[in-house]
Amino acid sequence: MFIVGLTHYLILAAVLFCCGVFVMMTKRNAIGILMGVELVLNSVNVNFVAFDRYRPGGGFDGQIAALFVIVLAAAEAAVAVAICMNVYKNLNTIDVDRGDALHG
Amino acid sequence: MEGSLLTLLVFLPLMGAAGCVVMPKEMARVIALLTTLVTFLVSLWLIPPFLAGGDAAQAVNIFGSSYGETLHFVQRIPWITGDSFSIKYFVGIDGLSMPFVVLTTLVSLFACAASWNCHTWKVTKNLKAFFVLFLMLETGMIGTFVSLDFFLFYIFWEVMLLPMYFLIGVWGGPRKEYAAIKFFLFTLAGSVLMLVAMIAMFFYSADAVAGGVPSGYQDGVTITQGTFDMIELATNSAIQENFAAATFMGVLPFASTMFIFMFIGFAVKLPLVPVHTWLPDAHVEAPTPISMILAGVLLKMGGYGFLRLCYPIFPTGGHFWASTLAALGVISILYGALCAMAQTDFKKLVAYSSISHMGYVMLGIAVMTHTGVQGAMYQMIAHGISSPMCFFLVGVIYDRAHHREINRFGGLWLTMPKYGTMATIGFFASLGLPGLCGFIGEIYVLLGTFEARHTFEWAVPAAILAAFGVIFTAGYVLWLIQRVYLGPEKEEYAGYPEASGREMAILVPFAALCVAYGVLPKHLLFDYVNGTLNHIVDTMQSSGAITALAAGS
Amino acid sequence: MFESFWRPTLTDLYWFSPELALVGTLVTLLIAPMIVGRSSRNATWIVVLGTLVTILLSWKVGGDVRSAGLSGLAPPEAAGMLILDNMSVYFKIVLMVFMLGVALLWSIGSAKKEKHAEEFLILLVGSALGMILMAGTLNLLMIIIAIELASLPSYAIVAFNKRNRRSAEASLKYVIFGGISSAIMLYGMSLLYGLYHTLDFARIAYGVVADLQAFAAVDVSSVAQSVDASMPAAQNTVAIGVALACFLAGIFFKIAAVPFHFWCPDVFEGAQIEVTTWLSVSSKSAAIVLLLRLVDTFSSATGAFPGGASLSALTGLAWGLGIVAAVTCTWGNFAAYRQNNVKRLFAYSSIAHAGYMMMAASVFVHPDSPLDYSPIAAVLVYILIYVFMNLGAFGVAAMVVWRSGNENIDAFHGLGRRAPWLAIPMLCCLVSLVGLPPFAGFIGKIWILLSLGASGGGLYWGLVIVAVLNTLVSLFFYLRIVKAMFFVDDGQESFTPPISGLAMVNVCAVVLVLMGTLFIEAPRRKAEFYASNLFRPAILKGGMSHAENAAIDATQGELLRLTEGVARIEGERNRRSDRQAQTP
Repeated sequence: MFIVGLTHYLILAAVLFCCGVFVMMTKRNAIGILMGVELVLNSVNVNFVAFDRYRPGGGFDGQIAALFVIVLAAAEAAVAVAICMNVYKNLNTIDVDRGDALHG
Repeated sequence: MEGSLLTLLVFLPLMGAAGCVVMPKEMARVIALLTTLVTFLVSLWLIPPFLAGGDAAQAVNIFGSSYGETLHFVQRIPWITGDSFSIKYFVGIDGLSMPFVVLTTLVSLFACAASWNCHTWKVTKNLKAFFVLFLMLETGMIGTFVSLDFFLFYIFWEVMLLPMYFLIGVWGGPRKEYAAIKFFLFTLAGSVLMLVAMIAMFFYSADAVAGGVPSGYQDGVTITQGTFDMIELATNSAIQENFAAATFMGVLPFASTMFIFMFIGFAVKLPLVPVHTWLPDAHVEAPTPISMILAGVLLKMGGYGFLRLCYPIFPTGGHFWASTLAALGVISILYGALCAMAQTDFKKLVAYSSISHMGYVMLGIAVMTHTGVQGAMYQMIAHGISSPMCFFLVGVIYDRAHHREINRFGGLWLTMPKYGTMATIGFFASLGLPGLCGFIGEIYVLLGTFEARHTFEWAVPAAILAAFGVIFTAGYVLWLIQRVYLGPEKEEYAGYPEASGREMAILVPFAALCVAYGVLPKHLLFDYVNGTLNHIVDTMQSSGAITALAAGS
Repeated sequence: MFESFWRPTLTDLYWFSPELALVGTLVTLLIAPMIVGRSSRNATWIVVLGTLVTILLSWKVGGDVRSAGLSGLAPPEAAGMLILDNMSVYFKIVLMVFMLGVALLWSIGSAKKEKHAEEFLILLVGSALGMILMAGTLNLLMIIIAIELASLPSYAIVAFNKRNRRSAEASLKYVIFGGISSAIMLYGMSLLYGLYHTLDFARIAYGVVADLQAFAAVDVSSVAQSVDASMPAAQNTVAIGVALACFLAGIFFKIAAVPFHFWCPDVFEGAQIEVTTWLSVSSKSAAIVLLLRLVDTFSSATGAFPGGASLSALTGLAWGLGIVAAVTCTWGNFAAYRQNNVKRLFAYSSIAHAGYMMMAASVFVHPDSPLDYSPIAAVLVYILIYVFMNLGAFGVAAMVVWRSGNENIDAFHGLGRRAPWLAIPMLCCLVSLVGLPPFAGFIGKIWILLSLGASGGGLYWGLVIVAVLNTLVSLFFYLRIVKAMFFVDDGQESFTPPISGLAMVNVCAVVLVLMGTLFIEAPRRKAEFYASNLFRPAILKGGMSHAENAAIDATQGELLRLTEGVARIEGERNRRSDRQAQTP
């Protein structure tokens, strides 16, 4: 019988993480990159919850951490999207490639 | 009370600078002149303790029986104290530093007098700032010569940079910015590695004295912490043994590495070929009084640093690098002289002659004999008198002609007989004519180099090559005098006024000193310095013997 | 099971009154417009008042905590969720002083033009709160919350000038790089949590040292024979490496260490100059203090082993930090040379200075070693000096930029004539930034070099040499501004800057001279004092009694049993207190 263990959760998280990093690296659209960031944050959540569930001794801190990460992700997304709108108003695009006023 | 004299001397110019800041613009040069004059007079108080130095019985009292045992005007105040280090405000003079301090105040006084006509310069903006910076520079210079704590020394050493940068960069000639930044960069490049050496020496000395060892030069004092005390580092046998035996970063021999780290800084200041290139630029662009300071005092700091830091603390390093350094000295002598010969710019010629003369200093120190080191010392003082005079001579004619093209001059002696006479004395002194100050130093260096023939097989060839430098020097000086001062009077310069009273007031004392130092070497310098110099050389040689012994066994 | 939870008391809350005061300031700033109407003047006064109260409270609490013992707002066995020790008190005070300067700069500058000027101050106080929390925590969750609290308002203030293209672009870059780096940092944290089953960094450090120690102990020659025996340690080492690298990446991002520095020049250039001033010191120094705390935790962890693990287990970490520091420093200085925009130039300069500070952070010293060459004290002095250098330099730059509307170096042309009382303090600050005596920048550098030299060895002497050579490189670009101010004059008209701004920059210059000459020892002594007695949780043998330590020691045999051990002690204490409660 197939039992879902810690390893499987970790693999799921790692896949999510890789997807997120891939999205971050390939997307030129700022919103797309933010979605990649969200993917990574979700992989973090999976990690936290899974490690918490399978750790010896028990406790909640991993799950609490996951809750905080969700809140942080929401806050960050709010600020990031606001900034994206501001950029769109100024530059009429949110492609990160198009930002060429600064040299970086 | 006696101790605070040096402190007074160091900070007098700074107080004068503060006075310049608060007083109205027109008063700046008066205050500056008064300040430098008072500083000079105060510095004369440093001489009496050394007056009986020629007397063998008295010499022990004046110079002590070993290096650093007797220091004068010492003031030692804890400045930055930690649990395991104590950086002190430690000033004092011995035979090595006293002449330099007096030279500094003297040249500063004359340089200040030379800038009296500042309102006629090309750049006349903000002359108040000029004098403020000038006086700050003097504080830095005196401080460098009197400080005996490496940390304090380093601070004064770097404090000189900024005023000098501005003095060249604001009030200089057409390429002043380039010259100023080049000066700044070269000097700083030299001194950053000195900082590494300072820190490394501190920690390695801390290793050596852990548990407490008696001080090398202070009676009844036990050293338990690492130290920045330049005399302690040189005289404490525990520290010396650790320096000679330790390695740096695991592979490099400590003594020779640190020697080079410090040496680079002083070689830039001296300046030694190949790090000399800032000097001609700086001299050509700097205003006359600043050239005088630069040649008269700043270059001496290189030689002073060798004798105070490099050699006494790392004699093994000195032995290790002796041939390289002597070679660099000889190259400087010859290269400087040949370059001087090729110059058509009056000031550049004098600048290259400085490089050539400073080569003798390097050679004299590198052979590590009593005579050589005494010669190097004499050469520095003599050059400190003759080269500011030469730069002032150039300045006098530049004020009138507004160019420095040697080939365009001619017959100036006929136009300005008094000036011409002074110029001849000044340039002959620089040439090293017997009876004038330049001769003694060169001949002592050459003799000292021959003296070292049993220690170093390259000593004789080095002496012979260096002797050629004397000939080249004679060549370019005589040719210069011929082109500028002799020959028929030129229409262009016929109406030039004779040297003014102010100019003569600067030139005559310089000329008198040139003659005096040419005929009375013992009474004017050797009596005051030889005691200390001999101790330093003894330190180098004895330690070298130890190394040789260790290598042999 | 809830009764076994540790609960803070009112006294515990008193320890954290400075933070509460700052929160109060924030709330007051938000409510004030409803009561007294919108006015940037009122908002500035609220900030000044709130900051002063915070400073006073930090002072008071700092004094009390030293007599009462150290505190972490957490069970005594664990590292603090919030830590109150000398270092966090010091950072609070320094940061608040700096915030006063920035608020002053804002009130004489952009506040006059902006419509929503008081909102800037709200964001400023918010990010300051985050930075203060960063300097006082050892809990992974708290670290990320603090970093985000510091970052989110920073993203917003960079975009404060909404109509400016460059501002918008800078904030976009900042938020994206920031989001990515914090996501990666979180991933590292989740791995650390998985490896050591705790969010408490002290225990994680303990575990890391134990594992590295075990790995180092594996005889290489025996690996071939018994692959099985060495495998777990080796696997753990890889996981530790990945997790720590991800974790540190987030901190490096805040420090703007190479290769996580790309945001810094763009953000500094795009943001208003007051924002640049704020970010140049605060975000970096907060992250450096956090890094110092982590490094100290690692070094303390080596002392926590009964046999005494040696610091050599951390050699890899030291080399990693040292190399990043050296590269950061060098890169910053070389890149600065090509810049014409003053804000960009200072961005690279701040990268370089962060490199100097990181050099000290790469020094792992034994926790009991004397404070003479303490890298922490060195960095604390450096931060203090850096505050004055940057406040002075940016203050002058701000006044010049406002005047001319030009951010390039040519705006400084002839400043020596046009506004000498701006040019002279600027000169002092720049030379101090180079690190030349007689200015304080030199002294700051000396302490860092001494702490490196005291550790000795190839790495640290190498860092000393890199640092001094960097002084030389940095001279090039700082002198470009000096040259523009004093050597070039294209006839721009002279001007009189605002008097409060003049006062601020001149005070900074005077402070730099005094701290570089007469008052060298006093700040150093203070810093040593504040660097002493860092809060080290019981597991690092910091704040527990001998008996409790022994109890912990007894349970420290295996990592997996750690948490159980702590729980048992906790249970015992609860039972004991229950018994005590019953006896009378």
